[in-house]
Amino acid sequence: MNSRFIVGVFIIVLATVSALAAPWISPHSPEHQELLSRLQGPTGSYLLGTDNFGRDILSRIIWGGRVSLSVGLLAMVIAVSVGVLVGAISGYFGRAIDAILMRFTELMLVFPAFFLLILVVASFQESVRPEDRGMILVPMLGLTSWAVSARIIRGEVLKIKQRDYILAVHSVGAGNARIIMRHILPNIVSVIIVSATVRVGVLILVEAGLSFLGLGIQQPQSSWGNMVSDGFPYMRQAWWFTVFPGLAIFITVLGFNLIGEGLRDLLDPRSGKGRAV
Amino acid sequence: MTRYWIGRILQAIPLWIGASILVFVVLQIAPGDPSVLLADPSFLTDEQIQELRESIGLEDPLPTQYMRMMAGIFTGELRSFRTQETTMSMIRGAIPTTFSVVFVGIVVALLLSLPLGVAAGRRPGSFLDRILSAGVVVVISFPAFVLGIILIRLFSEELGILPASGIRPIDATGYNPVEMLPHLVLPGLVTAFPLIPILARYTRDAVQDTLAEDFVRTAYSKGLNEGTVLWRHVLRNALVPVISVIGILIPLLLGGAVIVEQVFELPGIGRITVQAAILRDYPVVMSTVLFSAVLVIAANLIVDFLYGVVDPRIRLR
Repeated sequence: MNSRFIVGVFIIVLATVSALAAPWISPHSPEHQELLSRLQGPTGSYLLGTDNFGRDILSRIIWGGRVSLSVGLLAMVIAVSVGVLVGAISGYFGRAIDAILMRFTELMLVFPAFFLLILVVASFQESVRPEDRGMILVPMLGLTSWAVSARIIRGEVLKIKQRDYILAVHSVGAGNARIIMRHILPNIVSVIIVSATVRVGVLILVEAGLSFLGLGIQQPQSSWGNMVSDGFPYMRQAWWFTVFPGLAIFITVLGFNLIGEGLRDLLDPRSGKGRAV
Repeated sequence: MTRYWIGRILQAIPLWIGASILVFVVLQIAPGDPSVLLADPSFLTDEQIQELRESIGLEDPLPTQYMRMMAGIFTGELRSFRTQETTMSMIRGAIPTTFSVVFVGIVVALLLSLPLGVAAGRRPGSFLDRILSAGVVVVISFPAFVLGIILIRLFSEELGILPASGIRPIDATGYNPVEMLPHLVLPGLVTAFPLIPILARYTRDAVQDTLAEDFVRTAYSKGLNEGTVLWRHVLRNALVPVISVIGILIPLLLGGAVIVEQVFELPGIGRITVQAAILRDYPVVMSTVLFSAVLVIAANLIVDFLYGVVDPRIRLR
């Protein structure tokens, strides 16, 4: 077995289990404020220290994991679904449909991801209560980040479409939808899985970045990104306030990227180039 | 040749117009009334709100509003809801900051990644090569803003050798590169950070491929030493894919600039965008988003042009 894959799975299982089991394993309530122990360094009772309100950082990281992981995963589902749909239709039907869909895809890629997201988040965030921001962030992240997947999927569909067996199923009378669903997509499932895994990591980073900028998840809800941002002014006195949530983001994203890399090697040993982009 | 470039530029125009329509549509379907942001709606009568909406043109038909917005962008007359400053002058004021950070980032990344990539490509499977391959995953997983914060803590607060914020000394009036340099070191490093392993990896793959070419053997057999072959012959050929990657990464770099400018409090385009977004100053957000789209389109054209400079064979195709 591939060691990167195993390490990645280990990290993600650990992160997922701790997020799911948050009510049972977190040592303190994430909202409980112990004002006398504000900005306390790591100790026996507060393993990763406390923040400016005397809240336990470890507990907030564990609970924040629920937000970061679910936003990342759900947004990935939207991004990859739209990407597969657009990519498959575009690659399979070609001609005018391909031209239209690909121009639209290029349009999405013309914006630096963050600028488009800032525009969308700014336009929509006032319409929801601060505690529901996470829910509105999911469709926004998903709908602004499908273009890369669409391009990859289209390229794969174009390759598969040329094969003889597609011609064969065509000639026995299979419909287009059936050919795409039953004969093309199953052959590119490995590409879809790899791009989906890497996408979760990217989306977690983007969510953290937006929350850091004050545009994503907001207080009182804890997200790893807004914890880093809240700790920033206290960096001098209390490095743990910023560093530990930052590490949580790093390790989790690393986990998804390791799984992605590992899977790519397992599913397609020939590919080795251009992993990162 | 000229016709090719005119064609390329003409193709980019509909793309940008499409982008502007997309931005306009997003703002139209966004809930809420921008006019109520200009005053406290609880103190306004319905008539006053109506007047306010008419005064900023929100009652006009959508195509009229769109055309006016575009005209405003082109004439430079589109103004911020809040400060009434033209968005054009806001962007003009922010360009030196954002460009210097991105430029320093790319230069630092190239200076570090090219030697790394060449060294790794010369000996595939070596220790350095394996470190590089592992380094890519680690580095792209690391959140840039956390790195920025750690660097500020280390170099500005702990060691006190580099400024933590701003793009130039407080009393400076122009943009003097020498004065700006200390201010650009940390933001440049954070910008370069994710690029280094990616560019190094592409250089490595390209160097490895190029080393197998016949002309390399010819160069060696002419008696050239290894350094000359590597830097003059191999690297020049290997640069083509590396340049194309920089082109692909431009949107990423501009997105990264948003974070970097926020962390280091730099008055660049990203910071303007974030502040305008938080205050819901639509004309400003719209202008900066569309400006960033222009930059991406322009970067792609420049990259295609550079191909021809680095590899003259491509010019003919």
